[in-house]
Amino acid sequence: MTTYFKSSLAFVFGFFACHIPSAWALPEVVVEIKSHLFYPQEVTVPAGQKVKLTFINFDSTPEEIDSFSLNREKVIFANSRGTIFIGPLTPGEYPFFGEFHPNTAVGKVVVKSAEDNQYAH
Amino acid sequence: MLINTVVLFLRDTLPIFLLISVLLALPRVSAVNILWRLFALVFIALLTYPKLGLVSEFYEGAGFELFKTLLFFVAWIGMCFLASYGTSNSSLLSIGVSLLVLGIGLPNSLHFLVYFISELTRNSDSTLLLLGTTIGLGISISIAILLNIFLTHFVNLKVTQCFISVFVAAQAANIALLLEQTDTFPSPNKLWDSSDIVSDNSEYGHLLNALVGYEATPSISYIVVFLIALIVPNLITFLCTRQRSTPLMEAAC
Repeated sequence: MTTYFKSSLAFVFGFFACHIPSAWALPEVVVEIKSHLFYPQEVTVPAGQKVKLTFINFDSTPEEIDSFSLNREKVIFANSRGTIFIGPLTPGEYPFFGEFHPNTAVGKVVVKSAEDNQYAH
Repeated sequence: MLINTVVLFLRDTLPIFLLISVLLALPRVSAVNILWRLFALVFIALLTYPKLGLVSEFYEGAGFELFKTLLFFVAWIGMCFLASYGTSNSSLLSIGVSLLVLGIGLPNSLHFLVYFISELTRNSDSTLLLLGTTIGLGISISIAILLNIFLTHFVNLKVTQCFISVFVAAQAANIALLLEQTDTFPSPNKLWDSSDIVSDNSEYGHLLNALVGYEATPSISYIVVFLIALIVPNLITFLCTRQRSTPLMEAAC
């Protein structure tokens, strides 16, 4: 039983230890929340790749990020930051909004393929 | 603000009302049993709320997701206890109901509490907020009563048991979404896209999501967690029912 417990504990620690550095290596996009608005309102990310999307809330009230197309939902508390991981996604537009201020806090993630990015440059 | 409050109230608290409705449809679960647990839930939620900001900062800002994951897992454990409630052991039933109310009630109520308290402190006039909450409460109670009438008058106990296992599996499947969001689970491509039929954003989408965990674009992780959360309690029920038919095994169940 003790051996089983130790093995389980080692697995859990090992899993998280291996997991965290992979998250650090991902490309990161930062969106700021000021006066219930997203800055920038549109962010571009590469297709077929996992991306770390960080929201920094400068407001004194919380905001809840919600996106039906991305299947993501996260509360960003007042004067704090929060991260969600999205993708790999296919090219297209994925809108998100602030659930607490849906009229003003709107934004979208634009996913572009490598070819699209090449033509843009 | 009125419509937004109603929408958020329904999204966050409808699962709690559906849970109460389903639990009251079970034999040996009384309104008093549920009521004191709800008071305890409100008390725990009010105690937890001030610490949420701190909790959310754990694990690179994914603390709140991990906390909710833990609570949904607790709810699922509660369902496993409840799955064997056909036995004469009433403490299993009591533990199961308590864990379900805590595991489903706390994450959902905290979500609405974050919105409610922030709007209450931000606006000097809270009329629309309170009105929206009242309307949302009315709609939630109405849906819960209708569901309870349906489960107690139109279907038998086996269907009710089946429904509660689907309902809890739907809540537990949120674990997959939360862990995908924090990069703990892989985020594979979506299995299908039924947004054209019923969108997640629609009223039917919200209701179906609360009832049976409907997702227009589910991932493999979501389906796998949903199926595990659904099959295990039903397997426990099946094994306990079979063991009860053997008198010597009854005590073990």
